[in-house]
Amino acid sequence: MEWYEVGLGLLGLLMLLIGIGLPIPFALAAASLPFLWQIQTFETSLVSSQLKLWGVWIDYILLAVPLFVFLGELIGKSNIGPNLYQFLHQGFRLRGSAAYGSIGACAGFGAVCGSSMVGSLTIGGVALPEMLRLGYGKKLSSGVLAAGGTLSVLLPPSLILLFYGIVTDQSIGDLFIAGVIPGLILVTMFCIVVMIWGILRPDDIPAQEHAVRMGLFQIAATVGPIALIGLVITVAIYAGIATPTEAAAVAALLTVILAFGVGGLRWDGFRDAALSTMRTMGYLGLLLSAGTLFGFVLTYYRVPYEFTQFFLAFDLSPYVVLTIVLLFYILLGMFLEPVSMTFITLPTIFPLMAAAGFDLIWFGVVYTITMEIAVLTPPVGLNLYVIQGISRGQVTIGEVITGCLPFIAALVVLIFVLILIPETALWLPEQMK
Amino acid sequence: ADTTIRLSTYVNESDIRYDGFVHFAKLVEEKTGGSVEVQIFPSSTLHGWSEGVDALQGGVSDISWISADERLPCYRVTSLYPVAINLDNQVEMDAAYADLIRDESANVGLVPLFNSNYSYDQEWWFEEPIADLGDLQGKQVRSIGPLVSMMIETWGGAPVFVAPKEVFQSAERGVVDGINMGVATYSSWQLWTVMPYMVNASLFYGNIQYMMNKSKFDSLTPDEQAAVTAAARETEEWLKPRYEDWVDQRVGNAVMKGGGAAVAISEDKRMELIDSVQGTWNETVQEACGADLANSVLALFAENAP
Amino acid sequence: MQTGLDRAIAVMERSVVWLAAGGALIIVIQMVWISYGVFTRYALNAPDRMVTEATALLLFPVAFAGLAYAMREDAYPKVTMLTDRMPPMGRKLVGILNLSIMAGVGLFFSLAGIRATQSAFNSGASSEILLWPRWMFWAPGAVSLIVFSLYAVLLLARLIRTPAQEV
Ligand code: NA
Ligand code: NA
Repeated sequence: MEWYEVGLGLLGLLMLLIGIGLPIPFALAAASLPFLWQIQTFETSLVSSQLKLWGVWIDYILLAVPLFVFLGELIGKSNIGPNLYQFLHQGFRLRGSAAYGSIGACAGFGAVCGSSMVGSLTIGGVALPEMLRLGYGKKLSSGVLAAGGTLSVLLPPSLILLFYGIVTDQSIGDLFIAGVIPGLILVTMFCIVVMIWGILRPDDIPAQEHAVRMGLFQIAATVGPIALIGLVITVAIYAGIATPTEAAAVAALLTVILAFGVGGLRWDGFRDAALSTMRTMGYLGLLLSAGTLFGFVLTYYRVPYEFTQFFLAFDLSPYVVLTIVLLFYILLGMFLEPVSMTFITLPTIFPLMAAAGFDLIWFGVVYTITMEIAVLTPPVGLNLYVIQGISRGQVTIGEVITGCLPFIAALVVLIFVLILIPETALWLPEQMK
Repeated sequence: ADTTIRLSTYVNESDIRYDGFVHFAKLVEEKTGGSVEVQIFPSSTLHGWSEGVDALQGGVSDISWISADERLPCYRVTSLYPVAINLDNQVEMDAAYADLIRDESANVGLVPLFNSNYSYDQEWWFEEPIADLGDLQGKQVRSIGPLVSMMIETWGGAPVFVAPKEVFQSAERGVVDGINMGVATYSSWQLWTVMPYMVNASLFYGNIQYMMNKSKFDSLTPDEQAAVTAAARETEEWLKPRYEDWVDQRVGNAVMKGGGAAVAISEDKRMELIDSVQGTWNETVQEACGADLANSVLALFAENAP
Repeated sequence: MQTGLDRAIAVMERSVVWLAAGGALIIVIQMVWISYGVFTRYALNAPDRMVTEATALLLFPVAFAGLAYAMREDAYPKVTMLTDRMPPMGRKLVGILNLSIMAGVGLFFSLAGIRATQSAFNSGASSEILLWPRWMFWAPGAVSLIVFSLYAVLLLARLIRTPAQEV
């Protein structure tokens, strides 16, 4: 079979299997195996699978994944996450404070959590009912929270940047640090969106908010842990004190202590957090294994190599290549979730970006922004459904989608900022050296 | 092509040894009139560092590098061996070494095909200048296997495992004080800023062989077999001077960029270091190879002493 | 009244949760061990020589210990926009097809896991410096994959016997 027949056949079968509702990890494996059996005997395909399973999972860097997931779950299951929102919203008296507070809380939570879904769940779970009760517009409330959750993957730590680093063999520490400034710009842009929204549709933001102020101890018990954990992760990596995996372990242990000590965590919550971590690892385990097998089959037919050669033969300018790749990801992001997309497409796409002369740390940040867009676009947008689910029927999925549109626009603007001023991502990692 | 041979290597496309494989593939094509095609899979895309035997036996690849593996007991303890070697006759010596382990390889369905001699570049690097490699004073040094672990322990250091991808960060964060690795790898991981002090000791015979699946080799016609074997030998000769230049250039670059130093040790010190571990290691060799084979291998090393 | 199938599924689900709990315990051990390694490195100036290799090896069992649990919790990412619009019988048939594929993939990886455990045991393959035998890490991975496959087969049997209207 020719490489393009294999490439299109694999992708077509994969889409068919995903389309009939087969879970993505299984769809990846089930699409790969028939093509593997075309060139390998059944016995050899078993050996290939063994080599890939072992190769993926004996990796000290990947160890950061369960640790970061565990950390986020611990904060979500304790009072720290919910209280963070209450503090940011009640601590400041200005019009729209519940909306700005949501963005701030999502950013703060993002500094300790690596997954956008956990971000939306934790902060959205508290903030959405509160915003609706205060009389905020449904579209604004759900949009700000669905989009806010995505801050978790741009601000370090980030599972997407971690997986990106593993697939492209770039430094995880550099990638994390590169996400900081774009993440902060995004926080600012989200606030501007809310501000403009308030001007264009004043009815969506109540004039007055009656809320009880938190006690000083409660404030300290909320902001303190988040700041401390975020600081430990960032400083440890930035100052070269610990590897990302070590930072994840130390921060997770610190979170256990703080969550029990001041976050009101009980044994039940701890057990739930541990089991939730295994639930996530349960599908990530097979997803990464099957994704690697999928990549192996493509490599065995030399698809990435031939595809790159083919693409380069058109002699397109780097920015045309970049535009095509970005449109591809925004389109594909409508139908796939980010981790699967990373393992399905990135092995083929990143050599192309490198060949076009783009810095792979910079592209990692741009890629992550397209993944943030992916979780906000229908029909398959995880954060949309998370927020709609939290609202218990008060908000329709259509309202969540419309509410997200201005925030998606902000993400697109951020991509342009990164293209025009690459230093936005690259300056901070440069300073580390 | 009638036959496709999949060659799996850990080196990446910017490595001079990759050029060697491209050269090999071209020679095979020429010599067989295109009936045999060699496809190169760089950067460990087909299997990991220690899975060469599994990949070949399982048919995942047809030619792979072979790391120290329990299924090749004599190769395991002699493909990296503490001895001073004169590299003038390297290609002939490597061929003789391959012949010695041919039977052992055949037992597990493999044929030695291509020698990848790294005696020239397997070296020691430290964070701080070090007075005596033989007195490590408790330093933590990254090891690559049992022999190097034994050497580090004998010289008063502590061997540590560090996953390849973590070497840079571990070095930077002081998880290890030193490393043992090839110059090429050292250079491609840009370790010169964190481990700038090199001890150029030349303590090893090192030969990571690329072996071929025996039934795949036997399925070739006699002419094709001869062509593949000759192409391998010619590539070794083609590559040797290029590889050495390339390594020298890298050592130079490394020293320049890191602001460190490459220190060569005296011939006496070199022999002293080798003698401090060779005796112990020879016991392992005798046990693993059996007396006859062990003596032949050791005799080969002796013949090629400087 | 509980049928034999329901009882078998109940028993299986208990072992599924225990497996996940085992995986969670390993994560806690890794967290504590790595933190301790960082502590000894800076506070005692004596890096832990085992921690990196040991915790990396321990990740392998963790990777598959939660597979069946994630299925029990319905946590796999999937796209249901098309199947949601199907009539009950169509949904049931697609459900049967999907569970069959999942069981098949599970069985394939189980077989790979069993073979890998056997061959690692026979070859004596071990980790690089600690020389811990590989089969000891393959074996729990294989067990997790087998448990998943059996669980998927049981769920498939139940689905086949469930009337389409209740799917
Ligand atoms: Na984050
Ligand atoms: Na989407």
